[in-house]
Amino acid sequence: MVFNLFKREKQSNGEGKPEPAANSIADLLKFIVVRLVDNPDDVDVSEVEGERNTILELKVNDEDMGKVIGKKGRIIKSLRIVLRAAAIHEGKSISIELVN
Amino acid sequence: MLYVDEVASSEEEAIETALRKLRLDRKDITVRSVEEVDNGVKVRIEAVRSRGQEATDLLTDLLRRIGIKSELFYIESLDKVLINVKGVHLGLIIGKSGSTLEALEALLCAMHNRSYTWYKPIVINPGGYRENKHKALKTLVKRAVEAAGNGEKVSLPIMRQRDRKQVHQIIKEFPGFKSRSFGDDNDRRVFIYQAAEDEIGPADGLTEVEYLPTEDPDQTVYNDNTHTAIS
Repeated sequence: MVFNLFKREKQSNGEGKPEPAANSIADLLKFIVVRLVDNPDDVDVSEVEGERNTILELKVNDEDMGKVIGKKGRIIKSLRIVLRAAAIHEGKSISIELVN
Repeated sequence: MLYVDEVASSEEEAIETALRKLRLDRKDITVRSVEEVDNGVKVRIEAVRSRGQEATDLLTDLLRRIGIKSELFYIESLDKVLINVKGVHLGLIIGKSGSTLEALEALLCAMHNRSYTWYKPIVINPGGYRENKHKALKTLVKRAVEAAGNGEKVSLPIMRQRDRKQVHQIIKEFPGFKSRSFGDDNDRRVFIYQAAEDEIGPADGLTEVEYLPTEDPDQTVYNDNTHTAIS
């Protein structure tokens, strides 16, 4: 009886939890960035494991730098906010670095 | 599908105006009917491509990748696309006072508008968040107006641009009261105060919109800490 109750509780907890993301955070970043730039083939995202968090290194064509950064850094700021939210969902901590 | 009826001196001219109104390109529309009228031609131009559907598909894909199970339905008008999101754990995409939502919207807008000549804003409404926010702001303004009744300047909490804009619109429902924003980008808040007698606009409560740049030295007058803060 007790065992059954425990089991049921565990099941309902499982249902309530958010679905784990199907793809990794790096894929999500790439998914967004290729839709922002003129040269999607030059977009490259690499994951570097840091001490505390994962660093996503984003490489884009020099011509597309402005597109990824946006006016007053609006786009890159938004990217960081959204990606961080998605990473929390996965129980990770990330930071994005734009390298050229 | 969206359509517009356009009257112009020539069909080409009507199409040109319609494209701007529909925010689409020539290949994305079709001419339904052309009718001769007194001062030219009346043309009905219909869209064959739905920007609302495209934006919704993109957001569906994005949310799935973030890991949120949701149902989306959109309402498309000439000036914007509104996407309603239904699902669980939507707090994740709203964030603290809507910060994540704002970022998500900015990204979706940038991704979607890239392939079009004309810009069309997209508004995401997860689980009725926008309506709730509007209601909360209305209550806040009501309280602020009560507090400002005795001639005091009342400051509201620091808000995002979209919320401040809403406050300025809500305040029009309270004749005799005015609102102004002061402060720098991340520390900008709305002040509500009783308008002076001669400042009161037309009887319907609509007052002229005033614009005051942030770097105006006059703003220091309002930062004298004599106001009541409302949170």
